[in-house]
Amino acid sequence: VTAEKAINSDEISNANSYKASCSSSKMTFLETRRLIRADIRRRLELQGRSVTYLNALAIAIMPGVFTVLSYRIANYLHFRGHRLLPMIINDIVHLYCRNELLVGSRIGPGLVLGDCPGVGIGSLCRIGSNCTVLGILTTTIQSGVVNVMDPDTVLGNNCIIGSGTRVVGAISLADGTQTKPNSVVLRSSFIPGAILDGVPARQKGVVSVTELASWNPLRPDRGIGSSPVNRGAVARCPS
Amino acid sequence: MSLDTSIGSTSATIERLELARNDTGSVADAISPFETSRSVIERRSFKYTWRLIASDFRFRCTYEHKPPSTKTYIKLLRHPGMSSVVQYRLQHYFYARGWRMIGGLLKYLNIVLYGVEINENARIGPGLLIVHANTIIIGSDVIIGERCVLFHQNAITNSPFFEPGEDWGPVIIGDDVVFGGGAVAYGKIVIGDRTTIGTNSVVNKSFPGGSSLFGVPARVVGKRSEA
Repeated sequence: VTAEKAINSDEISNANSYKASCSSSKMTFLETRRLIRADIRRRLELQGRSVTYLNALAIAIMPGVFTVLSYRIANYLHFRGHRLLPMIINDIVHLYCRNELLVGSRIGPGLVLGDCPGVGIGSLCRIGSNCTVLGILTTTIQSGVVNVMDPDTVLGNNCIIGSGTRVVGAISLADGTQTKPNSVVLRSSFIPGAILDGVPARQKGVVSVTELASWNPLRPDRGIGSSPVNRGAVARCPS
Repeated sequence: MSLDTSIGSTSATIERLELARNDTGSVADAISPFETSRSVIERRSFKYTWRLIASDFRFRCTYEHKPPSTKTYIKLLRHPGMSSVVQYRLQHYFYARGWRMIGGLLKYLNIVLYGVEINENARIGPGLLIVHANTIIIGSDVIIGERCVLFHQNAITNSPFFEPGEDWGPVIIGDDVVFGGGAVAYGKIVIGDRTTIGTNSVVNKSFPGGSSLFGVPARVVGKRSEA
């Protein structure tokens, strides 16, 4: 089982264009900056706002964005060898947003978190680029009392994790996997674009390509790249 | 030093409680014998509270594979899960002393700082472990045994669907129970010793010990492996 998992995780990381910078040795400041820019750009695009510095500043205070930014900085510091600063940053994030994104995990560019609290990502998991986590993604193992090994959870690109979903254990999900709210994913799924639902999660369908391209997880009523009229409406309403 | 005098031996408690339920059906009668004068006096002493806190630290050290030294304790105190547990112990101490106001204030602080809402009159045995302090709710009149592990987003409360005239009762959780992330136990139930409850599962019935529960509503899916 472990060999199979390793092969699969390799495939996913190969498919990931971000593979090179995923390795801990290449965590440079420029890389971190690139990641942060990608995160904010994707978030602004999903919200239908124009990508400007002013808008970036405006959304940086939102809990989801704040968590991601702090996580990037903490992760950078972690790989630079700092011990205390990432801990302090994590504490601030926990106080403000109740999210726990542990340092040491490797997450591709374009991560978007929902603004509800409770996102937990374990320190050994790997997540591809352009993933969306709405609510709770748990990647800590759950077993006996004394076993605290963090598993190696691997998510492909463009995954959408619904709110309340728990992804538990050393498993990997293929590109474009979507999980319905409050499902518990216990097994690997190798089918791209699979829709997982239930406790424990089973595959309930496959996302069609057009749907995948047009569905906006933050605003389901609008697609990505909405018209200028829509964009204005979005900018006016307090998000 | 045995600390289990606070709630009596939990397995014995459960047996007696179940017996009492079968006989009379009144849980309030069944629970009153365990509020012995000794346990009440003990819970009012700060020494006892201090020992409980020490047991929490020791259990956390065992869990995280760290040496149980003062240095580790101070480091652990930074962790929201640990400090919220300590705060709950103080909360319960002040409650037992009769300083309800301070207990309530500490509870409020616990909610604001860590998002952990533990009612001050919940009775929790030594060795409570909150892995991630995140939306944990333990309601009033909850009795929990030793070495309970709460991962996150757990709720252990009386039934939210309580109707007037219904037989009211506390939630009783045995020793060595592990609550996975999002696991919820509610209602007038007894969960036996050494139970593991899986993620996102909802427990609304009593279960014997030594099993692992999973699903909505929870079912027994297997035996818990020997730790």
